[in-house]
Amino acid sequence: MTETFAYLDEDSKRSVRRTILKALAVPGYQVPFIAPEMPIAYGWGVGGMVVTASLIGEDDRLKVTDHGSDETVNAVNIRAFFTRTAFVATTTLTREATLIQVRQRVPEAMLAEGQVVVYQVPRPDPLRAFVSSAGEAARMHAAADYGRVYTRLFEERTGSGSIAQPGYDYPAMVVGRYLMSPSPIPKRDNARLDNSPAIQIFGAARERRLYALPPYTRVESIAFEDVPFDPGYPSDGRRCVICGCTTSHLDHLLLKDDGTSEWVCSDTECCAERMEEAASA
Amino acid sequence: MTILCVEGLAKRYGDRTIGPATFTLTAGEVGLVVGGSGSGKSTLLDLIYGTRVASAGTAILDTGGWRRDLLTLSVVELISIRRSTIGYCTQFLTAIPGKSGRDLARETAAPGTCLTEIEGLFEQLALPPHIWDLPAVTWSGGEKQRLNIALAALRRPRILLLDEPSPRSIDRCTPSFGPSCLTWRKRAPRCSSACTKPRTASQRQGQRSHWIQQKPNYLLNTSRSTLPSLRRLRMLRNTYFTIKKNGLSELARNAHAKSQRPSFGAGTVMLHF
Amino acid sequence: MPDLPQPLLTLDGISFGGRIVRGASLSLYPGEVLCLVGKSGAGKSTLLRTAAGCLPPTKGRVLLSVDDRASLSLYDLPEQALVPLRRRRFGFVAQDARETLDLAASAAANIAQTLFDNGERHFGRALEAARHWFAALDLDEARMRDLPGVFSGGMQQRLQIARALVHEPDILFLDEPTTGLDTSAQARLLRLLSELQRRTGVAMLLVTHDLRIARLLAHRVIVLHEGRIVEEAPPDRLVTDPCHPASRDLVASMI
Repeated sequence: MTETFAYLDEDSKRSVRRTILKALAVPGYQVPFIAPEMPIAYGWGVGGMVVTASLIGEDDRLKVTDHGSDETVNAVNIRAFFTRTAFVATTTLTREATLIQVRQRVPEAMLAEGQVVVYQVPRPDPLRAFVSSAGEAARMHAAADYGRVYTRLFEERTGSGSIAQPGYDYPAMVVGRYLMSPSPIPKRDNARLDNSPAIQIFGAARERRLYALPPYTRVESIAFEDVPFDPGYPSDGRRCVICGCTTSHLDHLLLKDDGTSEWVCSDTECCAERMEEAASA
Repeated sequence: MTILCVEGLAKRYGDRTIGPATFTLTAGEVGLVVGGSGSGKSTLLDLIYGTRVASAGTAILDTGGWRRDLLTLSVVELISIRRSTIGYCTQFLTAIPGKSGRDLARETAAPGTCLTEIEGLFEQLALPPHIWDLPAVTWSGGEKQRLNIALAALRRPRILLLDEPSPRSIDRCTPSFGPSCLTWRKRAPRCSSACTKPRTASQRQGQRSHWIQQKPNYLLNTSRSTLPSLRRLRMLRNTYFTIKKNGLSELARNAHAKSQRPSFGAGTVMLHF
Repeated sequence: MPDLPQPLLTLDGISFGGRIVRGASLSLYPGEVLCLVGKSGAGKSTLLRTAAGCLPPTKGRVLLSVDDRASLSLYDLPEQALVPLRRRRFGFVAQDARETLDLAASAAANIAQTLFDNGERHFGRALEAARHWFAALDLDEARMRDLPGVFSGGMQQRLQIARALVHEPDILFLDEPTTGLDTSAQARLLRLLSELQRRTGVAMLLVTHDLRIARLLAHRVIVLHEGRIVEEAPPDRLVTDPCHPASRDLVASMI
């Protein structure tokens, strides 16, 4: 195989870039795209990698996280992949990065104009939880026919649902028009999608769908008029065992023999920053 | 004023024909169709109400406001006219099982009928209050029939067709049914024919039966055996005419059976079948 | 003569698939219960579905009045316009409750879903409406959170009706709603339908093969035979003096 810049051939990249432009023009709308193959299996971030490969240039600085961490297998290997195929500089600092590929978290650090955040998405269509037919789901999107989503919310609220909405991948409305899957980020991260100065692009390779949010796009988690959206994050005194933070999103680290749990910041960059601040103070 | 003008009304069943019948019913009259079993009394009422399709003839209804031949109406028009203008009280009660008599009356009554009016009519018809809320299909035969009369009357029709009201039910109705009819008559300005009821009774009825503003005309279908009971129906008055058996053409008004004249009041139309 | 209102829904020369429905025309008036009767295979359900905007006919038009003068030809509308229109103005009750009910959602959610489909986004109002319709249809409020799959056939039918009426549609379409129910459940359903019809004034187009039901519920009956409308009559006339041989067959087989 001939080695090209960032692995993909130029035609494929151009095609993906065209798709991205269309997706940015219709925020939240799922545009079909070619999703060329990458040398890893589906489910490990092919959609995100295709988008990154199509956008990345020599001047870019790449940051890759998985569950907020720069150090997990997935993040380390994707970073290594682009270092080897595109020879770009990488970073773990959000403020330094121009291109950020993430999985299942939105960076907790402030994003800035000019940055691009690429999300890896397993299930791009929030309606497929309700209808088995892709055609019917497409019709529902076209007609903004989102009643069933509220039926599920109703179920969750009346406590009768056999299909309660999990605490992640919580559907959101984009500029009041298209319902979007925010990818499996925690519910509380939905707020970080809203009105973000960065460009956000969502790639789902297995489903061959791509959608995007231009900067400063209104993104609202769906909720009833009389029941405000609940980010659903418990405040039960849990704290990070490294930095001691109680407000950041915490991952369960281990369950100790005495029944108590240890938690750790999911976003390693912010955790490290807090440690540094504590050390310098 | 003629409210119903029937001409040459006939129904063919294979090679047998009932009719043709020709008669008119003037405002304020009570028509009696008298005849033996199978002579076609019910058929005549059915033809007027549209329960059967006539083979020939016309039946012009003239309410004063409008005139239409009942036999040329579309089904939708017929249903609309039935709802506002013609009541039909059949021998059988057709009701959804489980519906109480009170509910049926409430549903059938003309718009604006209040519950006390319905209850007043039930009382007049000697329906005991403890059955009002029981399913109507469980009522006794006579009660069902009186309920039927109530349902037909509550629509405030201009013409009320009564098919074989049983002597018993007529007996029960008589004390109130007749005078209440007089009340309607008294209130309707168009009918000025002499009313010979004792003033006290009609005054009493005037207070009790304010539930109908419009006076209906009656066309009653009955067998000979019920005639004695009908005599007690004071609403029947002493003009009537007969129709020749199977000929169904009008013979004469104010003729025939002089002996019956004192029993039936003025304004009665007899059609013999 | 009292003025007739404008028809709510008009079927104009509907044909479907060659012989299934052949040139059927009819009008449904506001507040009317119109029964389509006929033997199985006469084309009743096909005609009902066409009238309900769910099945485009091979030939003919379905006109829905939008105000006193204007009407819309349903199948000339784009799907995007047809679906919301159908949802807002129609309710549909199928013979098999599984066709319209969402068996994975609770009974209350099934009722609320119609409201959400019509743009309701208020939780309290939706819950209140579900409660109200549970009571209106004699359903036990304690079972609001149950899945409809564990309901009896009669309860499922009542749930379907609640779901079809909660948004106050103009027309309720019913396809053999009493089939498969025991006689007491049938009677109860008929009673509820007739009460609801009177209370809400909704027009009903009802398909049944059972003349007894047509007789008790309908204002007007239309007989279908081999895809054609062969007779239109008030129910009392149809059972007393049927004109067409097919109607006579139906009357003769009334139990």
